[in-house]
Amino acid sequence: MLPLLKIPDGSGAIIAELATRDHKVIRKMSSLGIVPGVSVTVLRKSPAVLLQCGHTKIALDRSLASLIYVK
Amino acid sequence: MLTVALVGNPNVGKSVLFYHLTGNYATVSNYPGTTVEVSCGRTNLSGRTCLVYDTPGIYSFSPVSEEEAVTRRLLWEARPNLVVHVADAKNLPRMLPLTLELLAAGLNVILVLNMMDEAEKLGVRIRRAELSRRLGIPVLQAAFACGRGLAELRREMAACLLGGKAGSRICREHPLAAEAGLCLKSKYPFAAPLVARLYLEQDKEIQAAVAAAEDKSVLADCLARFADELAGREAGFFAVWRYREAEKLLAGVFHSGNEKNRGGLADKLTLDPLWGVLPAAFLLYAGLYLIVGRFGAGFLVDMIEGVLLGEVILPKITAWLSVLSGWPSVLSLLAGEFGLLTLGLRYALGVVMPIVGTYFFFFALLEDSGYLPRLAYLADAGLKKLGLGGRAVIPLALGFGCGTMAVLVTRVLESRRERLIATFLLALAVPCSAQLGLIMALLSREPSALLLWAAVMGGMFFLAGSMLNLLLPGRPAQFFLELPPLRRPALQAILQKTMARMRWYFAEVVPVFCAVSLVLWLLQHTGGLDVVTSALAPLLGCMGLPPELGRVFLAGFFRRDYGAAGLFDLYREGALSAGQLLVAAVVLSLFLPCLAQLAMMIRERGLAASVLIACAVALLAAAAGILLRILLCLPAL
Repeated sequence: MLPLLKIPDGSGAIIAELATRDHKVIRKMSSLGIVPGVSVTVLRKSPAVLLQCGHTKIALDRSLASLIYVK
Repeated sequence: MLTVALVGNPNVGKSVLFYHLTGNYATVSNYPGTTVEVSCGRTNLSGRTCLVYDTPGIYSFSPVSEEEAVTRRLLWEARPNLVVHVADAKNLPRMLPLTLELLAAGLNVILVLNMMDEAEKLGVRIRRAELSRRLGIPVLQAAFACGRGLAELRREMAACLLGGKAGSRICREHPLAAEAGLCLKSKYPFAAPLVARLYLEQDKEIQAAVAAAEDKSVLADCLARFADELAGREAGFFAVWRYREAEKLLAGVFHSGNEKNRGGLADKLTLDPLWGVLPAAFLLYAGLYLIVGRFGAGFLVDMIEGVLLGEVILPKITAWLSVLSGWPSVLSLLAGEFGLLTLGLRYALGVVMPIVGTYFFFFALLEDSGYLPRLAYLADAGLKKLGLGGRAVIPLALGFGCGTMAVLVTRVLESRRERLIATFLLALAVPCSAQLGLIMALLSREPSALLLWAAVMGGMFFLAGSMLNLLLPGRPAQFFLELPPLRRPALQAILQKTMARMRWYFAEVVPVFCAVSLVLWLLQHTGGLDVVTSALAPLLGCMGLPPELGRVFLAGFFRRDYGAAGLFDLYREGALSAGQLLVAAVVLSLFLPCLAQLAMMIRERGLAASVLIACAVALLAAAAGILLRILLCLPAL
């Protein structure tokens, strides 16, 4: 398991865990489809993190993205 | 009356469907947050009139922003007879968890897989009948933007509402929630397992409702036991479970096709921080300067206000009104310096309408192309320094059209702190299009003045934002947003949207314009105008401005664009030097929000916060005016 922010641009991974117990943060993530078990591709990490998730692109700032761990 | 609610994620086509069903147009577009209030219309199903609600987009029953809370409240309070869940077909795995929650609430649901045309292009295949069987509810395929699937949906709606077709009876909550639901003794608008689950997820509104309805023992013993059990589970336990359930339901039914990222050059240009400057700068120049400034405030105003009203219509009206010459005060009320016709209607139709109209057209173009969320992505880091996130791009950009509308749209922001900062900046440093157009027309003969004006406004924007970020407790909001694909906007949709916004604007603006004319006329007749003007004179003197500007600022409070229009007149009469014009333009742009915006602020932010904001804005505007006068070496008067 490693942090999403350590993944090189353009590579895919499966979300393993969200490192928070904050209900609000979890709500935000799951509203966008970021829940354990979902596969994503990291498109770019600056100025904010951009993920391809299914047929959509999802933007997250680094503080949120740093909570995502993938495998 | 039978009621139907259209529910779904943002940007899946609810408002287009609403339009097809009711003929009403709630503003639709390609980003979350356009529908921030519930719209309501009527439709006819097999001869029975039904009430249809168009709701702001929600992702789940656990609202993150105020607009989402609005939708859940509607479902809770109005308990519609039927819910049409509109989903984006290509992203069905992300949409289905909401269907499960709607079913868990005990609502009667039809699932519509919309945007099938887009999905088919991407190679998505869905076995509709099998999905319908597994869910136990009707599932339809549609592409509302091109009218596909509408007739079928109407038939299905009629069957569900009038034919007494029963909804799904399968429990769609985790067994733990179902068990916790048994604790609840009272009856709620949603089924007990869902209410219990939201309670356990620490949903404030539901907790309050449960606490009010249940005995203390239920909370302290029964539900507390489940809360303890949940504490041992992984984060987002129930959400993960819903996604798993959706996955199971979709196994063998949904084929995702090719998910490869296909953006290429367009993505590079809109998402790369370096290249991204190019389209942003181009849009600023083409949209604000060429379309709004030159075409709207220049050409259209000259044509409508100068030629059509000024030379053709108003002289005729004045001639007809000369029969009233026996009653000079009535004549001046209608056609005098502050006359209802000569001032109120002339400004509303001749000056403000063309400018605001062209801005709304430009903004609709921007929205429908899907560019705004990308701009939000690029601007996030910068806006964080002002305590805002990328999302704030939406209300701020709309603020350049109409600040009143923008204050309403701050609902898309998630924290109170962020909404407060955005409201403050909208009141202080975001000039509305009517103001912007007039100021550009005023200053365009002096390019250096225009640049200076823009620099002062930008400086104030960043200064005020950073100060608020420092002073207010809390931290900048976290940014997360879905970026829809770039699409070629359809002209018809843009025109419809522009018209819908114009109607909204006119319902607000024309009465205010007429009221302002009336108040100014009254003040002039009673001598009150001179009192106010002379009271303002020393302050204006400090800024090096002549006392006649007093009435312009007074008008500016009633409507900012109205004040700018007054400035426009003074300049044309040659009453101001270039330096004075710059100071006046800056102060008027920063000055108090207009009356309509203030009313909206009070509605959205509360009275105390609004009064505080208004006072701070007035002080900052005066300070900036005095400072600028000193820097420009203008004499005080």
